[in-house]
Amino acid sequence: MDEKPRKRTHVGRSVTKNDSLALATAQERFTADYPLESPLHCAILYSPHAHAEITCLHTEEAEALPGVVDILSFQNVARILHTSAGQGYPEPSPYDAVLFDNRMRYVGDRVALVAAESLEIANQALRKIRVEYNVLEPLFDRQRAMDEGVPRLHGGEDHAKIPVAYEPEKNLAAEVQIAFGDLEEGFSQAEFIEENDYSLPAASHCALEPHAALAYIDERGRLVIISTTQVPFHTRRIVSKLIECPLHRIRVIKPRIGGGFGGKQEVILEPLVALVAWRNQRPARLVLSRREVFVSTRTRHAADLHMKTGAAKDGSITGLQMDCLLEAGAYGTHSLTVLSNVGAKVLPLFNKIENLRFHGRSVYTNLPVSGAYRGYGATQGYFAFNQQIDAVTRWAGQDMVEFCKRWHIREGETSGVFKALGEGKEGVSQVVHSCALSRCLDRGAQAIEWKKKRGKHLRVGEDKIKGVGLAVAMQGSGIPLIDMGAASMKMNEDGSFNLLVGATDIGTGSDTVLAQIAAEVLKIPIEKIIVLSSDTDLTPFDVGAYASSTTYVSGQAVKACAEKIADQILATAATLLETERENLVIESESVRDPKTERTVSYEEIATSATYNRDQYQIQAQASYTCEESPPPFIAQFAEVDVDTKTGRIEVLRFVSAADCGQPINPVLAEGQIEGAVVNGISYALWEEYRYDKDGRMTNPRFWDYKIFTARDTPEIQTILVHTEEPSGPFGAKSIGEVAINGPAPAIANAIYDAVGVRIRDLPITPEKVWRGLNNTEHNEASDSAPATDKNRPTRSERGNSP
Amino acid sequence: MDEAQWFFPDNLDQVPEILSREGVVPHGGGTGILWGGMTRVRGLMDTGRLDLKYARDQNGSIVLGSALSYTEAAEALAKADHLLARSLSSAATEPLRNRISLGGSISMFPYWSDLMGPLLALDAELSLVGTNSGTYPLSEYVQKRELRQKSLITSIRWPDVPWRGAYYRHTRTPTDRPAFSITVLVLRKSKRIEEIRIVVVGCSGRYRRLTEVEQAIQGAEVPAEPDDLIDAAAPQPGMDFPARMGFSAEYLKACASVELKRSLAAALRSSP
Amino acid sequence: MTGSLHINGTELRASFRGNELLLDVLRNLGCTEVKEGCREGACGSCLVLLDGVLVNSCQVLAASALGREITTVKGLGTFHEPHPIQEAFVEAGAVQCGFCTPGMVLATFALLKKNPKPEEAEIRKALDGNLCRCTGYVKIIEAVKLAAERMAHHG
Repeated sequence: MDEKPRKRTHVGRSVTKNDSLALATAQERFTADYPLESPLHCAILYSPHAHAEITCLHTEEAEALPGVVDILSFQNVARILHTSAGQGYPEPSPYDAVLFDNRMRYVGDRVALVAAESLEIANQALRKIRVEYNVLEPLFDRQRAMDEGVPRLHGGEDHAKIPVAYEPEKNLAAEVQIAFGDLEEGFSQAEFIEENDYSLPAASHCALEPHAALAYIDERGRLVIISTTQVPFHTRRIVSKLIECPLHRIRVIKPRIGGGFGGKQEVILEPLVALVAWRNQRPARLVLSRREVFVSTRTRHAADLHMKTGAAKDGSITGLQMDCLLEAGAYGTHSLTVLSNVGAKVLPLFNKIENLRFHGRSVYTNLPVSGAYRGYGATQGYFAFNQQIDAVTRWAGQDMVEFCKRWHIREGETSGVFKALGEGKEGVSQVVHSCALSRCLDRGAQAIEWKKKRGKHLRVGEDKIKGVGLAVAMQGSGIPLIDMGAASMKMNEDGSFNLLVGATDIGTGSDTVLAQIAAEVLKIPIEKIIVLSSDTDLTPFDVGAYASSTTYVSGQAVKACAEKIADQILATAATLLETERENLVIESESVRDPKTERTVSYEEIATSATYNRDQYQIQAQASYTCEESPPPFIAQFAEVDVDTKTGRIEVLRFVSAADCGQPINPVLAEGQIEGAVVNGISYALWEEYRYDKDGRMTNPRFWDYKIFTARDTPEIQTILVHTEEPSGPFGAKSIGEVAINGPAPAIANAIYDAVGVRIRDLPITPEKVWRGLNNTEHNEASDSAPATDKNRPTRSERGNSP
Repeated sequence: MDEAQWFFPDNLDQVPEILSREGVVPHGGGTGILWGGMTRVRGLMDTGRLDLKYARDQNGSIVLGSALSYTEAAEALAKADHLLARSLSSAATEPLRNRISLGGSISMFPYWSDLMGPLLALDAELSLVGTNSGTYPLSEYVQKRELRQKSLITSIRWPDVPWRGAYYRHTRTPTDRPAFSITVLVLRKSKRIEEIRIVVVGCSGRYRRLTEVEQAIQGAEVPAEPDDLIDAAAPQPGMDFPARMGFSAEYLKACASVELKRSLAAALRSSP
Repeated sequence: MTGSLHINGTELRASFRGNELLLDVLRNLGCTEVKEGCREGACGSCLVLLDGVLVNSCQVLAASALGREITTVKGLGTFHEPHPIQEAFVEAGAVQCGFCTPGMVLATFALLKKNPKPEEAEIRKALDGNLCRCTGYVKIIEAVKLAAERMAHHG
């Protein structure tokens, strides 16, 4: 079915983002730009040990320093177990953290906080805090985390809030298992078995703006927090609990945010500044350095995957087994839900596989803490999945594009995985209503010139060979039956509207997208909608910016709210035009009676309702919780040139063809795809956390943690393929995450296409390719290079391309 | 150090006295000083008013003032498509190229320098003012720590010879620092290689002139396809590297061998 | 030490220590349009023009900027009279979170002053000191091309 975009006025238009000019001229304020009156500047003392008990903590010398006002540590801050995960309540992440512990669980864990008259004094005071540690044996190898006799990080009162598998005494932060059919039977039917290990490292979001938080007490004694948060409402709730202050005395305001990508879907700094402000009745300010962001905020979950795929002669998959080990790091925030997503967002894609099993575990280690990161488990899963498919199709002598077209889930179909795997709890059954993945595959293949390049080993110059690779993926749109967003609108007498949403614009442009939805319903220019978002005092609830939920969930709330407003407008118009409501139609900023051709403008309606007759405030509110999570789909293609003498990889072109339903704002949708693609390519080729033998991160700077610049990107092409999602606002689904899932496997598949070397662990470095080309294993013992956290030889093999 | 004192001399005569003070260092762009940390720096002598930003042809030599930034030096040399222009304009990033000074970079000489390979290959000389006033070959300057004390590099010069050359930097990403670099300079008289110079920076020992390879190629006639000549000259070029930047020592060595041959081929093929 | 900093055409008296960075001095003077992203000269959030030359203010000691012309993004255009480069960024959809945008605008300005008709490779090189994690640089490069086109027409 070739879907044509419907004719709409504002939806589907690339409206300029309503804050673009203010951002480009630096009018807008980010958290660290807000002035505070006589603030207390905060600095944090971090643990130098990966695993230790604090036996002695002396702050007297530091306190005596002139200008030091407060010092927080386990000695004077209540131990309240919580999770820092910005998730709905009750959170599916274990309650295994306190604000200040006397047990340190990673290099970078929090020992104490100093609040002083200046940042310089605060930093000086840090150096005067005397700490004595009983150093404990650390655990760095996630593969051994559940073995007998290894160090334990948690236990005691740590607990899961919802009934899920959680065994801290075994270092198990989460466990998920599902199975369908008979896997052994499925493998016995297979003519070909592809069984491999895959591995991905931790990565940093590298949002340009470092984490920051401010807190002050307002004129009425309420605590106000301004911070770099993706989750203002969760922040309010968690801060209330942690500083033991009633929720109604706390206000959280989200200002402009300089990117989040999941790294700011946590409540890390806010309780600290809140505590300082509350205790001292003075404003408090905490801005992290880039190093602190790398080490002491959150990372992507490092993962080991084991996949076994059985195929029949015709290529059909007779059995699929996916085992996943995620590294939670020192605390288990997001570890159950990311784990669930590894299976939940990957396995339904090829829904005809009858015999399948997914088994995953998240384990604690004494390393930096993993959390939410764009893709959220799907990225890890798809890296393995797409390489397995590439291998199976090669064996079967089939083209991977055609294979994916044949086997992907279709409109009207479902998968048992939807119900079996939710975000931690049981999932929600759903049927796919919109899916253009086949069209995405066709259009993407055409754009990359797939047929011309695939399997051809085209030579480029003397030493380079060209290859193309494909990866397919889906994600979700919100978390069904859990994510809720709400909107309220009121009409002003000039025919303009205030739209208040809890939804959190972190640079995505959701304020504008939501305004477009409202404008579409009410048939008004976008400029007449004034958006205010993410202020817990003024805007209704929203879970926040995560799970690709804003357009789909918050958008439906806005649409429903705008429709209620439209009702009221029509009702007042009917009175003014002395006719029945049913006779009237809404047009551009006015209401018309088609029979009499009489019209009344919005301005007239609003003025009448406000001042003149049957006065009332035209206003409405609506909430929305999604009952399903319609997946966006994407087909992504990479073209690479591989230098056969050095293994150097050049990504020349990257094409993404995506089905996100009706893109509300095509330029913004493209922007989401492009940003995710470059992040994904950067992760595929360069990014990883490196540690020394004591668990200290050795590359917490851009000097040694490389991300893409404008000089590095390939030619990037983005194709939006249209569908209409019936359950979404004006046919929309989501686009925030899915595009980050394809780059790594597409590039790995392209390298294999070029030179027959398969790299199954990220990052795909030239050296790994070179070793694959020369069939040499890396002997780390012969190097003086710092050891990585796993001393496993790189996995690559020279294969025979068909 | 809590307080660092600043000096802004406007005459080179003032320099020796200022630099004789304890803990005072010359400040060009300052990027090297910030890199090294300022704990032992008691004073900074800014070179901005000493008129050390110039590029001249002088008596058959190219002379560059030490306060030139990478960008300024590259622009001055770009007209001649000088190899140094190419190496400097691929170093670091735009705003850093605008700030790193030649003098500061030479005195720091990190393994990742994009400046030192070409300068060493060019047999550059430095003029110093201060405790060690005088002119020194760069190769001597880098060997003798004491020359870097209490002295300001004022200019860099080398004979203006119509070299053809190639420059290779081995990085993870284009804006990355190089794990090593290879500079090849070739002087040809029609098909004959009059002179060849090869400098590797970043190998064990910080840098090396590959004199064995030079000797094997010097004087030869360049064939249309120089690969055989290169293979014969550089089978085992004898470069060793420490593991760094995520590369193993073995891999760096293998890459250096490949890229050396490629650089030689590029340098030999470039038209006179 | 105390001295005059010329910021966007205005002279401001500032007191700071000899080892203080220009970035911190500027922000303490209220120039919050100059952002801190990494403090190691890698991300470009802190870019300013120093005598017209693009530099990382986190890699410049404030004392060495005394008596020099400092231009921040607010010296190029305002909300009510934006610079054509800023307008181009807005139009091309090159502004997502906006944190990198002031630095990108300044880098574009520095490029187009030297090279009014840059090739794409030259654009990428001129912006290689500006990190962006939101856009993938695609629309930023388009914005620079658009700005170059516009400024060429208007002289």
